[in-house]
Amino acid sequence: MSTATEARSEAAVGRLHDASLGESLKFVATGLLPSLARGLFKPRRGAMKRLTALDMDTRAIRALSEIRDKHGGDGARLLGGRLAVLWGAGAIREVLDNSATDYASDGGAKAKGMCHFQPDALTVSRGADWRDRRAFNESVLAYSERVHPLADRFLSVVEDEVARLRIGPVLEWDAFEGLWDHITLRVVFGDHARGDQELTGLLAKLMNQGQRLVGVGEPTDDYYELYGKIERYLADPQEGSLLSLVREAPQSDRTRVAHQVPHWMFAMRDTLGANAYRALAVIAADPSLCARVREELPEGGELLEGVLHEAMRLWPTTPLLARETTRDLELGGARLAEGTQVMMLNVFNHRRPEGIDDADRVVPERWMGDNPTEYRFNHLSNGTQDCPGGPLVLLLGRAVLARMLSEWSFKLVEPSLPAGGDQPTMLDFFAIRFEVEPR
Amino acid sequence: MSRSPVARALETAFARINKKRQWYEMPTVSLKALNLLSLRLDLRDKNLFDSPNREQKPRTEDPPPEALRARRPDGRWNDLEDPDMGSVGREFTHNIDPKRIKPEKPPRLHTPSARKVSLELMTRDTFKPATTLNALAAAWIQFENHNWFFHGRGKPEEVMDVPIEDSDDWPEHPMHVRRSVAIPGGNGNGNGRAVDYGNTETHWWDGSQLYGTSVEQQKQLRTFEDGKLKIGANGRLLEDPDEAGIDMAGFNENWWFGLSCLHTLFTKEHNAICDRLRRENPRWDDQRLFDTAWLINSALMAKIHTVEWTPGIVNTPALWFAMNVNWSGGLGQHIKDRFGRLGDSEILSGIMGSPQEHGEAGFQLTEEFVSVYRMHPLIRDDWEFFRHDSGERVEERFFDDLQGSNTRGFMQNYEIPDLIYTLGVLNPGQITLHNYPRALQHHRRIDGELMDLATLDVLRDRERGVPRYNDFREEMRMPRVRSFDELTDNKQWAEQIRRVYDNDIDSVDLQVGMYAEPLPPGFGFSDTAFRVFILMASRRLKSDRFFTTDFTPEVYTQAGIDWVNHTKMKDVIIRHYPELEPSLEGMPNAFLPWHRVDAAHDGKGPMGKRFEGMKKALEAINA
Ligand code: HEM
Ligand code: HEM
Repeated sequence: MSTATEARSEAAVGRLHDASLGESLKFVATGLLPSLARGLFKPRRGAMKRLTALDMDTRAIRALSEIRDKHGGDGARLLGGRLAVLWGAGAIREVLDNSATDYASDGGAKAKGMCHFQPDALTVSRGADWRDRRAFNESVLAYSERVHPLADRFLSVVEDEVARLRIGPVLEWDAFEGLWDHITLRVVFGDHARGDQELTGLLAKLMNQGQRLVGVGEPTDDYYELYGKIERYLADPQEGSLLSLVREAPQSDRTRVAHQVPHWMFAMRDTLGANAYRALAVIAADPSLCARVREELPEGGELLEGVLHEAMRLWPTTPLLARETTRDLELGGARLAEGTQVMMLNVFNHRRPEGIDDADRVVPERWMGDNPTEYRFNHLSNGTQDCPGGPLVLLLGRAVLARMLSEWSFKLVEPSLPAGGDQPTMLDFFAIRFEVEPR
Repeated sequence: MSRSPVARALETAFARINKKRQWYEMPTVSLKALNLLSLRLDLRDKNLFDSPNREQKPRTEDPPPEALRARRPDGRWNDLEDPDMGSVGREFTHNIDPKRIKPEKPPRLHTPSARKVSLELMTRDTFKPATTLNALAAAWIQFENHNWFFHGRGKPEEVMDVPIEDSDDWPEHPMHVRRSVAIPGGNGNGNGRAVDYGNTETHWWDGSQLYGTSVEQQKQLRTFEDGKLKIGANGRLLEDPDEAGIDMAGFNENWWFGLSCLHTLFTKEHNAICDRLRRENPRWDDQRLFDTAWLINSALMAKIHTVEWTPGIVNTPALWFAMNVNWSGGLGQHIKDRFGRLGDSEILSGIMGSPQEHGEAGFQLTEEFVSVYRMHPLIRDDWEFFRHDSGERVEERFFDDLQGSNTRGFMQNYEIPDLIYTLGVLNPGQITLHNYPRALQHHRRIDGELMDLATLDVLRDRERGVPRYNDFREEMRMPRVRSFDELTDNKQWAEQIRRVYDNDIDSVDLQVGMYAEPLPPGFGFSDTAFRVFILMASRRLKSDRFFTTDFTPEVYTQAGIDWVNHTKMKDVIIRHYPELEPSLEGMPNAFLPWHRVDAAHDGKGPMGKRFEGMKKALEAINA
């Protein structure tokens, strides 16, 4: 990142202006609702396909660009102040650094959806609950350690699973998803859970119910069964699993340990799986990038990690960060009443950040070397409530990609991505198809 | 490939049905048979692959004239366009896309240790007999395996170290197992990819266990008089000049008295065919007689395997029917005799005499085919021996005394009919868990090497990239099993397998899965094995010029065609050992348990025996 950008990022919060009702409605229609339809938690095959066909993110970008071009500053208040949308690094930083306190993330549709399967999850907690659960998550996920204490074991799980993966002559999402299913079960619960597709199936089912945003109400049989299963694994944690670290992690009565686990499961299995799959597509589409990545094999290094970041940035699996103010406060000179919804549209901020070049292109160098944090790139979020799984994401994502690239050559069959050029705003990972050759 | 409309129609019809119901759950025999046929055609179109490591070269030589109407010892020139196809030394291919073949490497290769699998899941506790079969059926399949394939012995200096427990009384820790030897240019270093291993036999169904695989070897076996093979004046095979205690034969590894009996029978059969041919063609020279008798004798063995051994071990009326379709077409031998072949559809008229055709890939046997024939539990440890005339029980012996360098010495004590009678009346072992012969779990080969064949059976699949059970099933278009309880009906086994595989159902080895799975009614081995088997069984016929295009009176003589079509295993036995007739009287299939002469003495006439025979066949079907 250039020093100029750095200077801007460090700058104070830019102003928030008021957008008109027309602008507000357009933003809600093109940016907000489609993000919800996409499923905040578990992407759905049909919805992905329709949204991609409509190129919804391009529409959202266009609508928001118009607002920003007209008003400038770091963001805008919409719908007479009930909603704020942010694009400037200063304002975003202010919000994210005060997440879970001033700006809590348990509001709106996301919390409603998540209540259905993880009512006490960290990501929908606030205040003292959040602090308690955050410490617990950070400890198990080894958020602040350079390498996870179980990294060696996780790497051998990856190695074993890729060795067992039988693909060819094509690779499609289902097979890759299967790989992540196994990795997730073994990393989170231990080797003996590898075949427990009932567990991941239950979670998927609850998540799908959750995101329909109806009938959330009373917990179902599936809900009790899911947590019953997790409790049973917790009662007898297997050496080398994330669960084996639970005993040593800080916790109290309010931690609700079992309720922290589903997030690890779907974030690893579904979110990381999808992102790694897109990164593979990016690599396969660009022979010169692929050659450079191959130089880092068998382990995979900074460049591969950079590509993974770029894939996450270009097609953020969290299209939108949403916060709710917990009290009346001021941001960028504008007053935000308690209960204001504050939105950061990643699909916009990642593609149209002012002053950053080639935002539509794959530039892994952005993430190489020691660069200061860019608060507008939030695929793993930033600030107090950033993704505590980040180090694991990089560890596992890089390892899987490196192992796969060592074993096979990949030719991207569908869709086509321009090597070195501007990347399409949407990339439906369900539809990515490769031809594979053993190496 | 262009699929026949009939084949496509069958596939469409059964694909839907088979999602819910397996072929053996169809309501009628003909539906079962039709479903089987459809599965086979489907597999044939989708599960045949060439080796990726080999370039197809256009043929540069012309076929030698003798190849047009005779088999070559090395198996070349069966296909006149691709002379090397199926020949000795050619690679085993796969029934799975080679891109998906992944030879296992440590630590996966040893997860769990194959020795642990052997000891904890395979070890025979008590002998479990396969009561609907006789031990001749066990000898027969090994005899036929030697007709088809062998991977060779490997090099003593190139070994895999199989981890074993400290408490294991195996003499070496770790256990050393020779690697399979890759063929030159066959991607020997692997890189985790499909490796080509060569077949030391010809891939064809050409009787190479009797006739060898080179001109030099045949020289050693032939008399060069009247086309005949060598056999002693006493009617016994000659001793191998290089290996004391075992017989000389086209293939004589892993020798024991059962193989010796079958080799004796079919050496005699060859010579009997020569006599017949010479009577009809008095001017034929030794070579012509030998070549033609060879063709007839190997076609006869293929037929016995197809219409007797197979329906014996996979004992369901549908298969009795389907295998006859394979051989002679649904219309039956009688109609074919009278009207000849009816058009070119093999579905209607069977394979024999239809055009030679290889389908999606050149003909080679496959690693998967080898794997499903690892049927060592068929072998008994304890053998009782009987006199064929009185039924008197002579003695009991452990398998070690009857095999390897002990074979000939042991056999001296008996008349051949005593030994064949013994094979006819004893049951072999069931192919299941906890029924692996102790003798083969601790087997001293003739060259002195000690091996646990159960460990090898598991390890070889892993080494060669034959997938583990669930992946294997998926590749054969069968549903995966999701749990240990679904894998087997036996609760205790389910628990044991779970323990050995650390609760990982996808790690269960192919051999273990096949030994554990519930069998379709009447089956002597698993439905999983059966899939490979229905594909390859017909392919071995359909790809061979001498069973198809050249299964004609011009090549075989009419007498030869008749010999093949009208001889059964029972006829072969009785031709050479008429004294065995009482035990076989009325038996529809020589691989079912024979009548015991002592029991049969109490007053049962020919009708009574016929009834007994039918009863046994029905019992077998209903078992
Ligand atoms: C590529 C994969 C992943 C991506 C893109 C990702 C992204 C994110 C993002 C954007 C957030 C912030 C959400 C918000 O504030 O609304 C977040 C939060 C979180 N992530 Fe991840 N994540 C990934 C993988 C993981 C993994 C593997 C784990 C755990 C094993 C994990 C655990 C969490 C938790 C517990 C939170 C809540 C943090 C809090 O609210 O304090 N994530 N993640
Ligand atoms: C029912 C009878 C038998 C059947 C169906 C059978 C089948 C097989 C098969 C399919 C193989 C694999 C061959 C290859 O990899 O090319 C094999 C290997 C072998 N069998 Fe048998 N066999 C039988 C009886 C025996 C007996 C009685 C012995 C010993 C006297 C024996 C000794 C061996 C040995 C030493 C190997 C080689 C193992 C290796 O190095 O991989 N088999 N057998």
